[in-house]
Amino acid sequence: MKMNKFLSEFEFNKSTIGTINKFVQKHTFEALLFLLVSAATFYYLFFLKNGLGLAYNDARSHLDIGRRVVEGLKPGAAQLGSVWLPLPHILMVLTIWNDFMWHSGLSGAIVSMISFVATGLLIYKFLEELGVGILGRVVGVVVFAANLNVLYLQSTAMTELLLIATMTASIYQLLKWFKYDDTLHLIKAAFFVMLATLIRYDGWFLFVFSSGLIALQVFRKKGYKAAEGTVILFCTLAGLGIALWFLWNLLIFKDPLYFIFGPYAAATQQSQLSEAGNLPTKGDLLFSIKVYLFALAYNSNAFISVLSVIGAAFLWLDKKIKTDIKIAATALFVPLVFNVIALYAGQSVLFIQGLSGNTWFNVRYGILMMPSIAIFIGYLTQKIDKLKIIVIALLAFVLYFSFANADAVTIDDARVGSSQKNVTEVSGWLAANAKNKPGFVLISAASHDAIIFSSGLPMSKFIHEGTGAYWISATTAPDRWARWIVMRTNDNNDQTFKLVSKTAAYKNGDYTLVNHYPFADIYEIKPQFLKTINTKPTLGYQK
Amino acid sequence: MKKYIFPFLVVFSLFLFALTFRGQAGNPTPHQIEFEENSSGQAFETSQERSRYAIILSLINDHSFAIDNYASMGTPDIGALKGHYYSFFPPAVSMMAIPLYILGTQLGAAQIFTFSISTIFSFLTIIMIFLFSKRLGLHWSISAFAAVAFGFATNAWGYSVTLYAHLVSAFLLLLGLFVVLPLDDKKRGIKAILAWFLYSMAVFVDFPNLFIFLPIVGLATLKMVNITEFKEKFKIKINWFVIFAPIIFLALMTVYGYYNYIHFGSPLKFSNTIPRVKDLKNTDLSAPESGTDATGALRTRNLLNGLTSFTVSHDRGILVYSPVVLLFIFGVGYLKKSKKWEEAGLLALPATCLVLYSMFGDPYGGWAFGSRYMIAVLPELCILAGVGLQRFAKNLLVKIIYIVVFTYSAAISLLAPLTTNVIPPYVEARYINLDSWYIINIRMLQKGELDSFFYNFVLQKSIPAVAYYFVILALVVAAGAYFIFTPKKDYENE
Repeated sequence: MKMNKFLSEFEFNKSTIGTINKFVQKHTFEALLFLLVSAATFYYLFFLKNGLGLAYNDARSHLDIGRRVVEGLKPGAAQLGSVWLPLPHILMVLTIWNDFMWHSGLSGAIVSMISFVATGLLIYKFLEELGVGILGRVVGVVVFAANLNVLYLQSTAMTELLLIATMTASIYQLLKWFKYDDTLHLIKAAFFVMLATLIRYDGWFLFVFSSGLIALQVFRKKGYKAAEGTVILFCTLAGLGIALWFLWNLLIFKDPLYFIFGPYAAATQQSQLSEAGNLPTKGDLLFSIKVYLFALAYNSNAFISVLSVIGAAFLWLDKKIKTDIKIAATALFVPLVFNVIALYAGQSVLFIQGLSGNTWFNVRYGILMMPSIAIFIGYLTQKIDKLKIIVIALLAFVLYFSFANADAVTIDDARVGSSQKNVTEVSGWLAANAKNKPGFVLISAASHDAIIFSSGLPMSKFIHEGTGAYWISATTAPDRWARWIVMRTNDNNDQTFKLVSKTAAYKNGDYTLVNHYPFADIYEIKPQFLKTINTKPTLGYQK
Repeated sequence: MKKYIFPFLVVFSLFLFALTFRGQAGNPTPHQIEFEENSSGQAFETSQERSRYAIILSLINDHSFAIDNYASMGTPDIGALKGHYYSFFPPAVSMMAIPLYILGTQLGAAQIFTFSISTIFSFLTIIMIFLFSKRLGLHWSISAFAAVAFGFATNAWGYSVTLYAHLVSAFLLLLGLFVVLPLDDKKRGIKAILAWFLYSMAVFVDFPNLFIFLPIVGLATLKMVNITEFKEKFKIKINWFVIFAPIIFLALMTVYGYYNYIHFGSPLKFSNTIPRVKDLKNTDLSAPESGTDATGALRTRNLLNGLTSFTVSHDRGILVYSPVVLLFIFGVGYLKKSKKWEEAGLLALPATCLVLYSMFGDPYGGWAFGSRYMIAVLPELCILAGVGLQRFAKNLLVKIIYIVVFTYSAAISLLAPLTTNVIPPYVEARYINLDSWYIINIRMLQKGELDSFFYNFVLQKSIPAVAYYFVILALVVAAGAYFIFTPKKDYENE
């Protein structure tokens, strides 16, 4: 080392730099794995501690569905129901029998956390396949992982992260198949598509889109016959989940399309919204695009969205990237296209505060594009030479403020938007007054799953739609079975009220209205009828 | 022409400023400022001018930064603390204008001379753009185009003839970039010190420069390390001078901290965080200018609205008011590898400014003309627009795009200095049934409501306002067209 007045000079052998470089190349993946696991754990604990982990009404419902499979008056696989696709609940079943895992939400969150880590690593590998260097890959992973909305959703029992992970995995395998033409990658892609189809209907669109891409690719390269064979091979596995879902609905609900036309189906709820004039995206393509783009921008933050558009342009305009890769990478837009179509068709509802109504609802759908956005920005970082310093510095600047201000639109939606449901008054009353007393609570799980969850009572305390003979008996003669009834009085959308209001016990005033709350009312049977009420599950095993 | 371009640019710029200079002769009293010259289309039309002028009057007459005797004229951009009133704005621009105010007072034109502080810095920025472009290797006429585009085809023009901080910031930022680039030259230590000194000055002028200037000192710090490849080894030279250069910044910030401590009770409490006074009878303790700190004032949730507002909105968007700077897109990716740091620097400042202000709750800049917050970084975009022109010097279609966009930009920009900078943002205008775009300026022009000193003093009785407007516009467009169509080939890659 030489040293002048203000100048120091060092020398390094090129081999030393090379060794450092190799070390970094070799261990970045492991380092990211460690950091992602640490972030997942930290933020799960963080949101658990501040009480936001279970703020989403849907998170509590997902946990209850999983719990009902293993505990309740009529446990079993049929409890998976038809409202939501089954994979998230099937995965919960492994741990949800444990009361802590159920009530802490960890049973569902752990699936999201693993998905979060897997998606981060998939982004890294995806960028590697695109020829992006270490820095660009790391930037891509950071853009995904340092997003407070992603970190929040990975700490909850919601299904977004699992869907994101399976979709990203399938698109990654699809990319590798386009690149290497190895059938094993096609089969892996089909497997992950199959998983995605069992999580959300976005996966179904991915199935159709991927099949189209595969058909196009093989037709371009090898002609019609080969295309037909390859598509059939892909669809056999990728479409298995869809076929099984139809079969499930046929076997359990006697109608293969029950999930579409059943009373609890999303489409049914959307049609009610539409009739009430609360589905402004229906039939309006431009507004549907706008609403989804706003959701996307609010989830990823607008600056990152803009960068990703530039990154995507770089990817598709890059002459060094083969057309095959570009075709495969179009699958990265599947969440965008699907959600716009769903909004336009009136099959989905999404409220952006200030744009459609004055509250948030389902704004988390915008998070589904996050892996694609991360990949585009990782690619951009690779391609812009010295400008990458600006991009990285500005990303750091913006991310700092997003964390400093705790800016997460998904938390707002869960906390104060329409996706929240503050049922603490009702559930608190049940916890205080029904916990140590014999007797069942009659309640509609479709309307009040959050109350069931938040009460902290065992599932076997509740008579709901999924309890077969108990439900039929209790809604026919509530005074024989229900010591307490939780329902929205005068609301026929609440199945309990719809049925109980016709019974003699209700009409004769056998129940006292304990209290009236914003989400539900609580009724308790009058003391003189207590002697005749069943307090034990006497109906035994039911098929 | 090549030989005379510099003197031409000087004379041309000063001539245009002279034609559009706002206000009237005389030394306005506080009462006149507050009650007679405060409406739209007059010299003291916003609290920005009045509040800064109040600091000058207080410093001259009361030798105090507190504007207790002039507080009323500065509302609502003033605050109160410990029984004293202060302007929300940093005092640097007002302090710089004091010599001009004194001179103006002697000559009976205090307002005109005081406001010329912005004109001087605008003029210096124009010259600096020309020099910067020349140093990048741009053709002389393209360099002149970039300079004229900034001065007379952006909304900077409207703010060059009034008492705002934007033009001072614009000059300091460009000068800072000019100083630190190129990275591989000698005198690194001195340049680093100068860069950190300019950083302090920029923060004195306007708080957000604390962030916007960061890329420049970042580049200065990059100068600290020089890596060269030599046979089987890498040589790394570290210039310790550069490491110690930030000390000058810290020292000057300590002075600023002391100023804050003396007046507001804490070194880190800026004037815009004290309780606002909307009028002297009502001290609104809950509404400081920018929240309690930067973290509270800058929210990522605002980015979507902010980016939209700055780029494409009808009331503030650059696309609507100064689209000539968007021609920068033609210049991106063109500079040779040896000048990539120049390109990075030229893009970094606008990008930082855009992101910073987009996170700010009020991206509209109150009642303003175009995106006034972006003015500080428009010189960099104009230089890149010049790079783009050089790149496509042989392409007639691109040149036609340039002249069309330039003409439109100049036509819009000229409206502000002649009429008003006060256009309400759409979010306010829609509730009070006002327009929120430059149709307001056009109406004032048609009615002959000009605030040009030269026009009102010399020509008002000779030619109509609209004719005056078109004469000036013709001069700008003629110059722009000449500069655009003069270069015939790609000089950079020759």
